[in-house]
Amino acid sequence: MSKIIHLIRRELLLQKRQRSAFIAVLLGAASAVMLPNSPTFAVATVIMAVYFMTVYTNAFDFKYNAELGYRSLPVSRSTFVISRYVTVLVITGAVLAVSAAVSFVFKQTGWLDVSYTWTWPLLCLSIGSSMVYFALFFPLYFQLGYMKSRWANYIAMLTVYGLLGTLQGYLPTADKPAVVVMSELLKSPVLIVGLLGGLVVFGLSIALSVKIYSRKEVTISN
Amino acid sequence: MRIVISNASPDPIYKQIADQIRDAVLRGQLEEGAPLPSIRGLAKELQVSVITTNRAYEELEKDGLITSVPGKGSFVAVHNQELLREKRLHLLEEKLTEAIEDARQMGLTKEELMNIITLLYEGEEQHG
Amino acid sequence: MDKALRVMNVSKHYPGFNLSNVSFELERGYVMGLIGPNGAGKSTLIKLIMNLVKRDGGTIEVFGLDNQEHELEIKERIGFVYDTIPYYGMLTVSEMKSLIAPFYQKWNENVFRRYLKEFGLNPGQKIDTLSRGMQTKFQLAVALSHEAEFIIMDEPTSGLDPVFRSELLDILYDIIQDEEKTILFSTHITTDLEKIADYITFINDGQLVFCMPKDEVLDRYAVVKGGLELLGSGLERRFVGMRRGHTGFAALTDDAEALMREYGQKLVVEKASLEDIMVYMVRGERSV
Repeated sequence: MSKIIHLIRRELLLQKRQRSAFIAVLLGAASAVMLPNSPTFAVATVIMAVYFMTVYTNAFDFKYNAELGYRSLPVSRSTFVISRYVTVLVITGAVLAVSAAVSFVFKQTGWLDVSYTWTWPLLCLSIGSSMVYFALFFPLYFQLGYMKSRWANYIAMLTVYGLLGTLQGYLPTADKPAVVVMSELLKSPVLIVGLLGGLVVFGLSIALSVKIYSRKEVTISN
Repeated sequence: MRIVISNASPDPIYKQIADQIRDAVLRGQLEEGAPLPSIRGLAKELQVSVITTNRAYEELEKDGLITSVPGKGSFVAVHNQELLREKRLHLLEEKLTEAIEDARQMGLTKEELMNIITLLYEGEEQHG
Repeated sequence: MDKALRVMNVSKHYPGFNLSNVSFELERGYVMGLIGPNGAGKSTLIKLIMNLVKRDGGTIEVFGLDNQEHELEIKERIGFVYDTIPYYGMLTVSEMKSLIAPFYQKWNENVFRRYLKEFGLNPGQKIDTLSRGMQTKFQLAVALSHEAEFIIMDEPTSGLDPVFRSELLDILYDIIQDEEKTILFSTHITTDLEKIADYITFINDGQLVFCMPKDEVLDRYAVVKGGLELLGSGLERRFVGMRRGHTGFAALTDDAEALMREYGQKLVVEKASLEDIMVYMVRGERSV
């Protein structure tokens, strides 16, 4: 357990050092601004922030042959894999916290007409979407490695962004702000089923990645 | 104690080490009970492997010149003077035999060789 | 005997390269040099020992334990040094240390600091800006700060100058003053690091050529040189490898004493270095 925490700390320290965390904060703030009128974009922006952080870790691990180092330490492969998934949850939470704080401040001060802040259904949707996104990506990453998986990741991110944007167009926003409409759509049964489904997918993905990575051999990039 | 290892020497390194320590003991340069460098310390000093110094010490132990106390190290053996003298005499005989061989090959007679020895012996005395 | 490492019939197949049925052992407290030309399989062997790649056959035991079943327990007791530093270059020495240290139960911060000082490493310096030699020293400092009993080094001196190599040699001699420490290193350039090696394991083209005490290796082989007129009478059959020119030949033999008796002054016999042994064995018979 403590090993997972140290592996998560590793990712956060890398982000901090490379100032890539700044991008996440920026995207978090942007999502707060988008939230009232374009909630799907706000959700997509949150996922994008997490995407950037994860991609940076992948890239650093690749660039510095860190896998060779970590696999030589007394850390099991499954611990390593699980830490990547947990980090996604941690970062998602952090981005949402930033976003919520920003939208709270905006709402209080009346800046940029941000009059609505995050609702529980939308928070759940963000966390769920992020989980599903990385549940699909990580097995690919552990199978193919950074170089071969990064384009798929990039295209997937664009697709998700486009899809969620398209969804936005179908929201019946006649008289109510989009964020209210969307929160109402995500009524509890839908939300609970969706979240449970997301959790199951996440869990299955962890199991799959652990299995894939247990067979994976270390290759050295330079 | 001085140990010099030569890569040009035909002798294996362990033998060079053993020979030089043996010499020092027989000449009395190393006193009875005097501690020898540790096997690993000597390996470091001479930049040779532990197996090499270990083998040199084993050789000397077999000759009864040194003793090794587990956990304490190796020491010059306490030996009786008679035995030591005998060993040195043996060493001297070997060297003389070699000289005699050479003399024979050159066709020197016993008298001629003796003359050389006498001359050298006296010369040595005069010098020091 | 107490073995730090046992490699038994280990095989690993790659497209275009096979490591086949390699077996050797290393006793605790001794130093082994793994030598062979580039691409011989040295790195593969080290990766197999570290369980970074999966073996296709055979068994590997470290401290008497299977290296796959007891992977974490073994890795607690191993210190590793690689050719390329596997640490994040944009982090400082002390930041990187803070990411590694928590994984070892026996991490000793005081020992680590002492090594940093001894090696002249600045804790605040970014790893990327360290020279190659300093990066290797940082890896060594990490390897030596968690009471590792077995230090495994893959090409620790490649690309480093003789001054550093001699420094590394001194460091390794200091490590082995403790009789419990075992060292395995690989190298394709011989002539200095192997001074410390008790055993030499020579692999070529994925095959074990020999694993012997170094002194025995150096005792067994000699380089003989002579005129071309000596060849053709079966003399070549007693050579392990030969280099034939227009003015004479030079060859590696494990039969030097007999050859000296039979050929006397006609042959020049010299001690063989590990490099000679490696080159003649790998290249076999050739003309120049």
